[in-house]
Amino acid sequence: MSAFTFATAQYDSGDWDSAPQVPANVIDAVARYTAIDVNPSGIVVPLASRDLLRYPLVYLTGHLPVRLSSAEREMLRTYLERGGLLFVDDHNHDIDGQFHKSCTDELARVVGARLKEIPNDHALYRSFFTFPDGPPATSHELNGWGDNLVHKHLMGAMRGDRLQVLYSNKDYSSEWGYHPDNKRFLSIDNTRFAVNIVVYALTR
Amino acid sequence: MTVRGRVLRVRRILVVSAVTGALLWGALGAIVIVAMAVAVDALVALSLGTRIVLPWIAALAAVTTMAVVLRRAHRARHLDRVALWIEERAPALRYALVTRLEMAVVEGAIPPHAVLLEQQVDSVPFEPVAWQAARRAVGLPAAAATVVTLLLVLLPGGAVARVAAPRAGDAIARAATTRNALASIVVMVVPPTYTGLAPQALDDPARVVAVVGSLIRIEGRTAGARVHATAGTIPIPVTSGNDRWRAALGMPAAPVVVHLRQESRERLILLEPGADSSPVVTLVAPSRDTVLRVASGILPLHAVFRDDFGLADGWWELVISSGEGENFKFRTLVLGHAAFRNARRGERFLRLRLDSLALEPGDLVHLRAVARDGNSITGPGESGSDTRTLRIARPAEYDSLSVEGMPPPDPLKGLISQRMLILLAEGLEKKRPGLSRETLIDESTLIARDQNALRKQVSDIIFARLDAGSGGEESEGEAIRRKDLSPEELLAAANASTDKANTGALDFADGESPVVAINRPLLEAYNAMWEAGRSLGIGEPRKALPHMYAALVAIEKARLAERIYLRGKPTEVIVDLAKVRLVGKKDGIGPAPRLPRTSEDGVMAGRAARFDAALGRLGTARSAAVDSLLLLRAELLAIAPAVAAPLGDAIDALRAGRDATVPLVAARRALAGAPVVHTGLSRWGGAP
Repeated sequence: MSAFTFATAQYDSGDWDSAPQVPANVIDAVARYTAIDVNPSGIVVPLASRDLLRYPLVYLTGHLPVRLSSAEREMLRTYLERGGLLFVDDHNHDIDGQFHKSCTDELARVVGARLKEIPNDHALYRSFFTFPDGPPATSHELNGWGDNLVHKHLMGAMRGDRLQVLYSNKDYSSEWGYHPDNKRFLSIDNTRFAVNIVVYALTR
Repeated sequence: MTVRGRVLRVRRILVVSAVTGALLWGALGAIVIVAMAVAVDALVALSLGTRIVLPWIAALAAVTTMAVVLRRAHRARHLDRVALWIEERAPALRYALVTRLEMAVVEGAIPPHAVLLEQQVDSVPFEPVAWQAARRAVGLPAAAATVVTLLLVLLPGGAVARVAAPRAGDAIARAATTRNALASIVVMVVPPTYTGLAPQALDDPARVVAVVGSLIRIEGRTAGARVHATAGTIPIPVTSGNDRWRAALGMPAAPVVVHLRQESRERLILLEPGADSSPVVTLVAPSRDTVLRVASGILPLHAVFRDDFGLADGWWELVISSGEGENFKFRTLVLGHAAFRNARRGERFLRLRLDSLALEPGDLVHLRAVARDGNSITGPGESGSDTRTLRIARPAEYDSLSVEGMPPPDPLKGLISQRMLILLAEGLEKKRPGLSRETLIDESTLIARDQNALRKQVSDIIFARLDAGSGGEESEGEAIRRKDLSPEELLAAANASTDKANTGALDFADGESPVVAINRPLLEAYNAMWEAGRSLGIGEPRKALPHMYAALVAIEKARLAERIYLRGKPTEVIVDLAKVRLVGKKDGIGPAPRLPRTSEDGVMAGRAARFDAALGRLGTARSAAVDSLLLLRAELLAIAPAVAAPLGDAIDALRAGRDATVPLVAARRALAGAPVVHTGLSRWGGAP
């Protein structure tokens, strides 16, 4: 058995590497709260590569429009069909932004349907920590950045009774984009929700 | 009238009656076949294929019968045969008729004794014999055909039409034999107008595949109690009239099972929505992403559009992003809008003037073609092509291209390589037993001097890099902090960090910076050389050698570590798991042991059990077994198409009474999934 490795998706268009601190922070949270065997550093995996199939959870973010190539689209479709979970976060935090429009468009092409709102009592919010009100708000939302909205729901696409795509407009990429050593300055660790995503990806 | 004229008239009567009789016999044959088919169809429903062939068989039988009958009448072609036929039936002629006809033929003129013969022929009226024969030839088949036709007329019109003019959807035209209103049903599928597809009728279907939004009309013969219908759990109104009950609904977006119930009877129909694919758009030109130095000139665009039912319109979409870092501005342009008027394929060209886009250096143009189909029910479906990116280069980035304007500088001749220094130190250590202490120190000091010179060269490279920046991402705070430090202080910080290299990860007090990270191998080399020089300076080459080896390895590593990151190198943070988990770094202390999780695919195992139970019922309750398979297929359509497909084939085969072994085996294998060997924990790790 190999340890869990946090993978960041690299795609040809856009700025896939806009949140370089997030992987380490998520890894730190997984290590801090769970006994999951986790690799100390994340990995970057091209979306069109078959290596994608080695990772149960893949994180994708950016500010710029996301336009997937045919190879990327096919591989992502294969990945999702084989049980992978794609976690997409809109680094613009803007539902009128180009990332949101283009990325949701691309994901709809991959999964064959538009993304839908995930109910706030979904198993994702109980997979490790309990978030009774659904996805935790980010400071970027509360401070009125981006689209000036506090998004009540995350979006996603289901395959049967399991999430295959998790999509966030809450800008967790900014919220979790700090060195994990600085967690000690937070009264409540804001990366706990990342643990839920990882545990969900590994157990469903 | 002459004798010959009378015989000709008889021949005409015989020929006409023979042809009429042949026609009647032929018609009778065809009608009998149709009547027999109607009778059989009333008892056992004939398939549509059989019924389509039947009219042809009836026509063939008619033609064959006519041919046989006409063959018997072919002798009427010859006048002498007709005369003989008359002589046979009118003996009073005493062969006068035959003789008279032969005379006329042989001699060509009327001889004297012919008058006598004609008188004898005239005295015998033989035409009634011909009329009698004609009545016999026509009367019998006419009467038989009339009787059979009357029988057909008395049968229900639909029952005859099923055989005479068969068509899909006439299953309920059969005469009702029971009070089961669900015994025979017809489903009429009317696809949405935009698809341009013709309506389709299905007889007794187990499943209906149609485009989402199609009108599904289910119809059956009224018999006995009222019929109730539900789609899943939602009731469907059922109307009655003209000896028919009808239920109608639109094809939903998800598979649904329609339950038809009459008293204790139930019948299931699985509605399977067929997808209307979004258009497929292929961007032919430009064929690849491009970086432009100047945004001017003409860019030819070419795209091909396709759709399964019909394209509504298409256009070019350009998203122009300006800015960098976290600040971007976007412009979206739509160009070359074109209507396709429901064509299934289209092609568009456009010549784009780049000057008109007012692009600035650093701007990115995301270009794609977009098409929309004519789906007015669930759509319109919209798709885009692959996106091509045009980037306008920034002036500053020209200098960053790895083109060396000058040849590399000559290597410093005064320096001895680390590998050479190691050879010298190893040689000194080998001959050490034979040397005096003073000689050893002198020679060792010489090597130490060269080692220190090399170390200073390494430090110069590190300083140069620190001053020039790493080329990677660097926080503003770090830049300010670095400005506040002198090169010596920076190097000291680096020394402090690399001192820990043997015990753990490199780490600055406030976090490792990209500047340090990129110089790490050289800093390790620098530190190792420092230690080596110190040992050599006091005449201890044996203690210096491990550091010298380490320095060599680090230099090799630095040489291999040179990379160019065009996007900027993300900061790589390696999480200290032991520290985070508060377990310390002592060997043997780690996270608690974990147990393998149990198999989590109990749901699919349950479905396999249901499949097996349905198979078990096939022998005793075939209809119930098929219904069970139908419900299983409805459940699996969206989530396991690999199982649903053979299951559908099996259901069709079972409904049609064919052998379903092959699709059932395929479905069972697909349901069981590919064989998996569980040798331990799952490959993706697991929950605690």
